[in-house]
Amino acid sequence: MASVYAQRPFDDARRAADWNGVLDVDLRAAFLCAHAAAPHMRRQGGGRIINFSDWIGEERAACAIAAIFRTTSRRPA
Amino acid sequence: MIALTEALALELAGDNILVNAIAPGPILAPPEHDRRRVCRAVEDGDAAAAGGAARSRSRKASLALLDSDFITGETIRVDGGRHVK
Repeated sequence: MASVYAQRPFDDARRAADWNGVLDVDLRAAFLCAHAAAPHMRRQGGGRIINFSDWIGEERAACAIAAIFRTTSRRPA
Repeated sequence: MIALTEALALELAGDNILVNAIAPGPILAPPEHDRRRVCRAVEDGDAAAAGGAARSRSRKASLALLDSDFITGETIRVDGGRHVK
């Protein structure tokens, strides 16, 4: 479980630099864990994945990425 | 994280893989801990010492999700109701 959060005003130039780090730790890490675990779970007939996020990170990361994931996950098989 | 959890839940549903999330909110440190002790616990990454029962409450929510075979794409906020204020 990990999370990063830097509290800065929106206009602070470092906000742009923070962005990738926040998404890497708060969101991409969860994706990579699921990506690594899914094949093993599939082989054993199923499984459970539980993601963790503090809800400050959740608000920040989830809004931006929602449209991308919804689009890619609901395309016809 | 909510969107990622929902997306993975959809994508992996056919493989019988349930995907959910726990979102612990801010919590108060135990009353017997002074400020210095809390700061030290935060620096040491000791969530239990810094935030009292947060870890065990998140664990209970996790166990509920592990026990279920019909919940997927859900995010449980473990924050004492702060998100509805």
